[in-house]
Amino acid sequence: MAGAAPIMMMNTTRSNSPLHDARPGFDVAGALDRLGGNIPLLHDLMCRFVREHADSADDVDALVAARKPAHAVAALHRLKGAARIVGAVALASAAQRAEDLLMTGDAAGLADFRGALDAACVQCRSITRA
Amino acid sequence: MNAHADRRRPLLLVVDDEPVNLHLMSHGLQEDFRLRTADSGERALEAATAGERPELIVLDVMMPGMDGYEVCRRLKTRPETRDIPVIFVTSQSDEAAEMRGLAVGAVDFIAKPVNLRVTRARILTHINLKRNADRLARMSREDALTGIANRRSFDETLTLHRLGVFAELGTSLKTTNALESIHARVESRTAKVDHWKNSEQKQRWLATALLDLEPRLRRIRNYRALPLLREAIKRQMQGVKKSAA
Repeated sequence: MAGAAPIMMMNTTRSNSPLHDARPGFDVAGALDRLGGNIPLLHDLMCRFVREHADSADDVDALVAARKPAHAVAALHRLKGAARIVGAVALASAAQRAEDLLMTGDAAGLADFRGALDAACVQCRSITRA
Repeated sequence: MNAHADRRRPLLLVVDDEPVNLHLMSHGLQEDFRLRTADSGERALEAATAGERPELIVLDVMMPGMDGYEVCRRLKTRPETRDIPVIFVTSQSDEAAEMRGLAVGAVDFIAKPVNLRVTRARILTHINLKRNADRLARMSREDALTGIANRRSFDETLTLHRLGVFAELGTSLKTTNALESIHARVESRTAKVDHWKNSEQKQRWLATALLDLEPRLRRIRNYRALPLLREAIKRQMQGVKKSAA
């Protein structure tokens, strides 16, 4: 059973990890489970998420201002998928709401999305620095 | 991992415009597969035919520019990529999206957010199915006794030739007829040999028959069964020498 050892090591690491602290708006346990308990991979993904998407609210605003709602919806959709991967469930919901609003021509709901994105990035930075 | 073991891991092409998704797949699956990635539909079409063919393609549906459906449709129209299984990754779980994906040739769907264990299992299942199908197809195109291309393989080659796919063979009816005649001889002689009980007699007959045909084949440029035929002759001659010794 060559594969058993790494899993046990991961579980041992897991119990001491800040990933298991309660994080508002996050389902870290669910994200980790989908990754097969691979904590380093979740860390990498969170770092990558912040690097790729910390400024996404500005990008979406710019697309809305340029009257490109379809592009803005596509950007939100992409971000929503990435948010789900790292367990940022509140952000994924906010992105979905923003998508729905944009499709009905209402850009006012983007403020919620911006707040959720900032909060998610703060949590990701906190987890990966710990 | 040594180079040989690494080579035996299946090569996957993962296509997604979202860097976080690409990172997840390429790092989460690297123990079981070799990974090639593409971040757009256009690049996916290039990556599918660049060098070694991937054994399976994991394809995001929603991408700017060319979406996953169009990429899959194009892959299925190209002879060099049409047999590569495609699994769609999508957050759309409605029936219409799945039907559309299956209609353009996908073999399966994986829902976002991706679960690595499920993804790995599904990919391995489809790679095994593809390998088994390839093995059966190979067996159905080779003569079991001699290992050379059989009538079915010949007919398929000839059809492709007639369609102009193997332009290097030339397009003249004369060449086509010569190939048909030679293959008919190979087929009839190997069929006769099958009924013989005496293995030495069988080997000697087959070696003679093949040696007789080889010069005819040599006159036809680029006949793809020629190397196989030469190998079969060599094997048979070795068998005859051993029997005589």
